[in-house]
Amino acid sequence: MSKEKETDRRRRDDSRLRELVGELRGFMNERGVAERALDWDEVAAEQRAVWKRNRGSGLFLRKLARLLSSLRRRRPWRPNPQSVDQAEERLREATFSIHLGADLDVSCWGSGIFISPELAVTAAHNKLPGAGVVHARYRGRQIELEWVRNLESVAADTAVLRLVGKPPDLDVQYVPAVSLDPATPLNRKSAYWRSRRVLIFGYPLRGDGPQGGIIDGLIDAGQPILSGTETTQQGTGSHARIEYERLSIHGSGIVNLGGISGAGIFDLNLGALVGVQHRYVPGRFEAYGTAFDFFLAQPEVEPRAWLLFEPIGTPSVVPRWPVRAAVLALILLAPFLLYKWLARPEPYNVLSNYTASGWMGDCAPGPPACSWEIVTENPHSAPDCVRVKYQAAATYGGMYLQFPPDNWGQLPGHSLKGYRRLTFWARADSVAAIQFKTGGIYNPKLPYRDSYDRGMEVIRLNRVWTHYAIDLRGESLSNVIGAFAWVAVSVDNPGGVTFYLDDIRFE
Amino acid sequence: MFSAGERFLPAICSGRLLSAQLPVRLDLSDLEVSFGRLRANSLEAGKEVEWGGCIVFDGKRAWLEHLTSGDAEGVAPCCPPGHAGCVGFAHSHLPDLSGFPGPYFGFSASDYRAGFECGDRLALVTNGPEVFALVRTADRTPPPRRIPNEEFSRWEAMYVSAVRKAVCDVENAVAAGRPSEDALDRRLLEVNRKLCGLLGFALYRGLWGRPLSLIFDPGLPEKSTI
Repeated sequence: MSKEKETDRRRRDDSRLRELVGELRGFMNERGVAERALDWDEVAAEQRAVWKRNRGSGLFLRKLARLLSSLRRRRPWRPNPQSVDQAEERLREATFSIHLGADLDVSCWGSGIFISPELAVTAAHNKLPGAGVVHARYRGRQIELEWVRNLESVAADTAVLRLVGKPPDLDVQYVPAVSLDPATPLNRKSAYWRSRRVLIFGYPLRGDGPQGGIIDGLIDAGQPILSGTETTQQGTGSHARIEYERLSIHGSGIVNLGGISGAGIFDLNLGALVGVQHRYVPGRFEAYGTAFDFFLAQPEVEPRAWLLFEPIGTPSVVPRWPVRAAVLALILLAPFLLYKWLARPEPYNVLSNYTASGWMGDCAPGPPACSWEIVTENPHSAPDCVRVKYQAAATYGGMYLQFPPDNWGQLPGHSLKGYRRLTFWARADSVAAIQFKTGGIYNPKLPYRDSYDRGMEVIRLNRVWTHYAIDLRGESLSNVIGAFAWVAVSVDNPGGVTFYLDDIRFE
Repeated sequence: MFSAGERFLPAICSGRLLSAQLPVRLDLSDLEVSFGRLRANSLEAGKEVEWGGCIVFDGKRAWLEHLTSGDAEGVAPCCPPGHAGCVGFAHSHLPDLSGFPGPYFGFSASDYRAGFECGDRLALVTNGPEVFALVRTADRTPPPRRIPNEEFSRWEAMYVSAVRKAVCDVENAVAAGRPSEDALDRRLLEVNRKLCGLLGFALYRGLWGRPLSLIFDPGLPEKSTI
């Protein structure tokens, strides 16, 4: 392109727009309509709201939640079906199979793909300059192409072909190709490449039908896309199976694909063809593709309408720093957490350390009005449990497990700091309405008292062993005199009750 | 002049800015002096021509160099090819002078083509009292490449279509008895947003001397994502 033309392209020319605007303003004048500016505050506020919704502080929490959920279960990449269908359809329509001879049923040599209505690119290794006319099958029709030039600077097997003798009724579909920006570090193993979503398409199986697939995920992520696909071994025509299933980037910008010679590499993020698979290594069934760095340098290849496909943009990459920060925090906290775990107190058995001495109410005279016995029948955990009997009298009956025995505040109790709840199992012979509590011994005339007081609502016991817990978080257990108590009201239990307790302990 | 707002210019000029980092308000105070000179040239009485200059960034601050005048219809940059530190182009559209239609919204199709093909990280234009900025992002804007003529024609057609739609809007305003209409700005905003979406540019708009506001973010979910 001449220097003047190049300058023209760089020129910011707004004559056409100015002309249009002039016409519109003339029209408005004619109609007597005054021009009014947009409410820019509203536009900016609307954009700020969108920004805030998507990028504001609240988004951090949403992103964090999404990140955590992605850590929990890694889901496969799910492309937008519409975009991919569109691209796949276009690739299918633009791809042809290349054959060894005019008889298209003999053998498929590889694939080619139209990049303009007349030009195609391939990497089918058929030494095209000497091969003369290239026979191909395109959309079910036999076509012929001629070699234009090899792209030696890129790869020996990559070549540009031109369609010759085009049937008048043949509508050639093509995929726009783009030259990747030399300034973009595509030629290195870079995050840019690794974030590409790629569709490759070609004829791996004797030209019986186009096959291809979406690389499910990112390049260089170990993709099983074509593993096991049957392909024709160029040169011999024998069949082989592709076993290579990993994609990687080589130092020279080569994309290593397990696949099919000449298959187009379509970048869904750019919305254009960016490469073609070109190298075959006999015996190893490896194949390589290359990025089209060379396109703009080729006078024959004028990429057309490269925005034919709506580019989908680079996918956002999940940031790794939150994960790293979380791991680092875990490592730093690990000794502390381990210490806390090791230092946690063993369950404290109340029945072994406290005495059933604090009879109350109707039970104040002690047995036989009320009784507390160790029995072996049907304990929750072997070998025994406690059977409590209360023969309902005037008001209520109850009892504290105390330390020391009969201590209502004359002496200090145990310090049970570190425990967070009291748990026990209970059942009854028939329905019993009992209230359980822990702590609460307090007599202002005596020097000591329980350092806390927690109780449960009245619960109705039945014949089934049931687990109960009293939450003691936030309470001070520095002085525990009455570790456990039960209270039965005669109105609720007119015929008296018999109930069982087991495994009373602080945890 | 451009005094308030966050300073993101170094990140933009170094080409590292991701769409997720686009600021809501863009501070251009670094360019205040040289951009002001360009604007003053453009407003000089009796010379109805556009002016342009290359935005140069030295790693810390940015300014305009190689100020050049064009004609009444456009201006081309005169930065030498490969000019070190050149990160974009700023130019003026003709303000509201006699015989001209006055300032209008945003960039023209050729502004987009030139900005995209030249790989501008920041493109500025001043239209009368307004300043617009196109900002390239590292993740949303495709690498610079040549825009085919067919594609460029399509872009120009979008402007024609926008003005036609604006004509319809004016007709409707007349029918409804509305005395004023913002159709031109609205339709041109639509086209600018569409082209920015297509090319992955962020678009800012503001009044001269104030921080610019983000009015199109290519990373937000108006676009289809995959």
